[in-house]
Amino acid sequence: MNNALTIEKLSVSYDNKEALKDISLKIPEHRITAVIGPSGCGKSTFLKCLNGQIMEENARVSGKVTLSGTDISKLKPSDLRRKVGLVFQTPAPFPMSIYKNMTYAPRYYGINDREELKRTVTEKLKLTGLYDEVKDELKKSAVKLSGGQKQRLCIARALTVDPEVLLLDEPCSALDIKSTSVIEELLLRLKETYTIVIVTHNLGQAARISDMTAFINDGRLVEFGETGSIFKAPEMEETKDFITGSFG
Amino acid sequence: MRHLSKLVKLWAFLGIGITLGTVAFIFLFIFYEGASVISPSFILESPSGAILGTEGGIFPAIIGSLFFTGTAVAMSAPAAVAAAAYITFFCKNDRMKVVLHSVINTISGIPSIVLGLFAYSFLVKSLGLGRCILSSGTALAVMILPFIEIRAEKAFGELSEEMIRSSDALGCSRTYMFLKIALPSCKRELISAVILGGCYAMGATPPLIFTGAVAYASVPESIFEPAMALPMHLYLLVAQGATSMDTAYGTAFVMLALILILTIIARALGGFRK
Repeated sequence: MNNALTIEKLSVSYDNKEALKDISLKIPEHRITAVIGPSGCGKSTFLKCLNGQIMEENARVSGKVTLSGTDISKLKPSDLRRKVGLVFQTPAPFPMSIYKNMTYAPRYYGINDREELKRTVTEKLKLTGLYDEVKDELKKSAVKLSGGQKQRLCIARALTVDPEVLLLDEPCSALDIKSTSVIEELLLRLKETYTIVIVTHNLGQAARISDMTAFINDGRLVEFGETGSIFKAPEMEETKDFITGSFG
Repeated sequence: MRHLSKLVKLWAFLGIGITLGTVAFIFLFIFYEGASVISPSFILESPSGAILGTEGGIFPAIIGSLFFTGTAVAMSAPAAVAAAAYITFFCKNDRMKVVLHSVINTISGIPSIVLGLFAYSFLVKSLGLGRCILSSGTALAVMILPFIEIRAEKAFGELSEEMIRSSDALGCSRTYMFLKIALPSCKRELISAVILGGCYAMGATPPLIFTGAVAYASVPESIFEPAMALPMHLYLLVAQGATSMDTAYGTAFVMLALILILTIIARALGGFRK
C-alpha cells in the first residue's frame, strides 16, 4: 500500500504554545483516515499543515510533510491546494449558481472551454450523488440548497481541481442524521479515487467509515493504526479512555 | 432594577422620538417655506435680479452641484473601495490594519474647512489648477473617502469567513475571490455607500468656498472651470438677508429633495440583500 502523505516530526506552535508536538505518521492512498481527539487537541491544526494553510498564520512550524514523494514546502501554495482539497465544517457555497460554484476554480486555472467545463460539472456532481437532484436547476442559486446538498456541493467543488487528497474538517457536524449518512456513503465511494483525511468529533462516524484512525490528544499523536484495532483493542490506555468516553 | 429598566426604555424612546422629530421638523419646515418658490422656471432658469438670486432660478447651481459631487465620487469611491478591500482581504499584518484604521479615522476627523484650505493652497495655488470643479472635487473626495471606506469595509466584513477560506482552499488568489465573489456580493451595499457619500459631498460648503464654487457662473462644461453649487448659493442668498430668503428656502428645498431621493435609492439598494 502506497502512502499519499508522509508526516515526519511535525510540530506547530503559536506564541510559544505548542499546538502539535512531534507528529509522525503515514497516510495511505485510497483510504479514509480519521483524526479523532478531544476539542482543542490540534486536529484542525493538523489538517491546516497538510494543505499549507498553516503557513499563512502566525505559527512556527517544523518537521516535514511529503505528498507523493514531494516536500509540500517546495510547492507553490496554489499548486499544493490543487493537490490537497479542503472542505470545512459549515457548508459555504459561493453566492452564485450551482454551475458557477462548480466552474469557479477550473476557470481560475484557465479552463474556459464550455464543453470541458460542462463535463467537469456533470462528472463531479455525479460523483457526489448530487447530479440527479440538481441537473435541471444548475442555474439556481447554490445558497438555496438544503444543508446536506450544500455540503455535497462543497465536496464536489473541491473535486473540480482534481486533488489527490481530500481533507474534511468535521464535515457533518452541522448536518442532520440523514444528510450525515448520505455524506458518509459518498466518502466511502470517493475513497476509490481520492485519499481522504477526515477530522471528526463523531467516534461512531470514524468507526463506520474510516480505514485508519489517528488519535491526537494535547497536540501529541497518541495512537495511529487500523480503525478496527484502535476501536476494539487500543494499545494505549489514553486511547481506551477517550473511546470509552472517560474524557473528551 | 425594574425602574432602571423602564428608565432606560423611556430614554431610548425619547432619543428615537427627538431624532425623528427633529429630522421631520427640518424637512417639513424647509419644504413648507420653500414650496412657494418652486416652479419649473426656478428649477430650469439661471439666477437673476438686482441682487443676484432674488429672481430667476438655480439651474446652474443644480448642475454645478452634480458636477462637484460626481467628481468627488469618481475620485473617492475607487480609492475607498480599494482601501476597504486591502484591509479586509489582503492585509495580513494586524498592526498595519490598526495603522490604516487610525489614518482613516483621522481623515474623517479633519474639519472640512481645513480640507478646503489645503485644496486652495496646494491645488489652486501651488499646482496652478485654479478655482475649478476639479480642485473642489478633490477636497470633497478626501472628505468622503472615510465615509465610503467604512461602509465598504463593513460590507466586505459581513462576507462569510468560511466562504473566503473555501476559495483559498481551492488555491484561487484573493484577487480572483475579490472580483468573482466579494464585489458581486457587495455590489448593492457599495453602490449605496457611494450614493450616501455623494449626498454628504453635495451638502458640504467649506471645501468649495476657496476652491471652485463661485457666486455666479453659467452651466459648467468641464471640470476645469469654476461653477455654482447649491450649498454655496444658499449661503450667499442667506448672507444677503431678507430680500432673498424665499429663494434661499427654495434652494434648500431642492437640495434636500435631491439628497432625500438619493438617500432613498441608496437605502433601497442597500436593503435589498437583507
